[in-house]
Amino acid sequence: MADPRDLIDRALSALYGEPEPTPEEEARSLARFQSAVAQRIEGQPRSISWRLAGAAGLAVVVAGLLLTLPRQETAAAETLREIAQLVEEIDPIEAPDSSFIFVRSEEVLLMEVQAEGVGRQEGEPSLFYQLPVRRDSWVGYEGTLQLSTTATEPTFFDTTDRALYYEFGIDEQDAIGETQTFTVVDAFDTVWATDKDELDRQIRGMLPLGSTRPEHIDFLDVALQAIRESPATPASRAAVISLLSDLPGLELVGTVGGVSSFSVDFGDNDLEIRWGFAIDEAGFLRSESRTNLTADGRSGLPAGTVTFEATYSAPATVGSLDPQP
Amino acid sequence: MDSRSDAEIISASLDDVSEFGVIYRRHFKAVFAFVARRVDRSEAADLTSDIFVKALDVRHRFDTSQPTALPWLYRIGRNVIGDRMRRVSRRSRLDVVIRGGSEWELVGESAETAALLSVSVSEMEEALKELPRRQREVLLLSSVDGCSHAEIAQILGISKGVVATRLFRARERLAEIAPVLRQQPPKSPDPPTEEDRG
Repeated sequence: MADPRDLIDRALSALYGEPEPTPEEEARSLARFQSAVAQRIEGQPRSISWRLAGAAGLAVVVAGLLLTLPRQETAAAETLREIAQLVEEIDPIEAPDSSFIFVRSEEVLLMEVQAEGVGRQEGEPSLFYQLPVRRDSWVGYEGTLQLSTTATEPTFFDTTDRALYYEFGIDEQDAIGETQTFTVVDAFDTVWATDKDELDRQIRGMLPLGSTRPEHIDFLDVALQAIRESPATPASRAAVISLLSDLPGLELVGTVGGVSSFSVDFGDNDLEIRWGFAIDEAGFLRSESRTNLTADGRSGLPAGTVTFEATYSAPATVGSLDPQP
Repeated sequence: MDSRSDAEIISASLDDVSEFGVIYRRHFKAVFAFVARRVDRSEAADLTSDIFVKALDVRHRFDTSQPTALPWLYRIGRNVIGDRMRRVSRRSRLDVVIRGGSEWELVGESAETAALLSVSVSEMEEALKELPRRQREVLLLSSVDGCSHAEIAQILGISKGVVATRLFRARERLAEIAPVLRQQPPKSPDPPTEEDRG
């Protein structure tokens, strides 16, 4: 069989050619480049003596500002910037095209079954319970996602709820004890930008419309997608974490074993909610939670109810979609 | 003609920004071609200047042990183009070509070779669509942009071994998808024989 290399190269050359810039294109590109250079020259010190004098003057000004201005950088922002710097230095994960990024998460989901579903009258309270789910995800480099979920015995808020749960077969709907697997092609088609400003615009373009949460919380929600069970590159993860450092209201909870925990409180309708999340030094999301800080008048759930909780393993590269131990 | 290496010029530009203009003049056409193959032609000039401006801002990160700045500029180019694509949701050059049909010319080929190549090119359009993105990227950098394995490794941030593996797979897969690519076009300008025509 003939070596296809020659024909492939020539066909590709025919397809793509050798584009030459026109004089207009050359002039346009050069003008834009020169404009950028000129801006930077304006910002550059004119001479060594000016530089030294400027530095001395600047030192005085900075010292004065430090004495008079409140500290702007919070501990959370500082920690996130440090993580971003660490992540920037990481080499991208390299793996065969046929391999997958595997992440196992242990989640607790707050579930609701409306009154009619458990034999209650319309208008009576819904049934709430917390469902633990083990979730394995395999993300292929071409965007394929396989999810495998296994729900286990729920936690109930009272014994009546527990009895209703089994009486009305909700356990079968939840497939307690069964492992369910499904595959989605092109699930991860988002390529996260690596430039911070560009990423900021990209995320803002993905914010939900008509949300009842503050915009910076929606921003957090979208941004965390890039570092949760995601094949995002270190450069993208670094940019995400750098953006997170600018979020208002973020608090550093602590750092243990290289994993730093943060929280942010916000209002959503009548509820006060705390969103917690933890990021490791490789820039991956390792846990998150959402907790109602106030009692929920609609559901009757007390203050302190955890509505979502998850821990994520560090991503590992695996060669197949087979179950992992 | 400035005889200094790219590394020397970039080092000098840290103190004098205008020095970076030498890098611009030296690599403009190559970077322009790299961009024009991947985006709508109308955007190529602006994106080319964007790449150089971005490079200017991160020139302190250039590895001065590298013999040329071109792979570094291509690497920045990939990011700039990727960001642009996401922002405007425009089709890639490949999509444009596929959608637009015969936009290319077969230059410098004999009529017979051109005929076979034109079949191959149309097969290639379809085959490239089927190729995994990462394999396609390596193939284009090698066959179209003329980068060496080492340069591709530098541009993509992967090892040379992985480059070779992906390239091999890309070629094999292309030939599987488009069997016509396994045929060898005639290399001499001689007219085909009756047997060839049959």
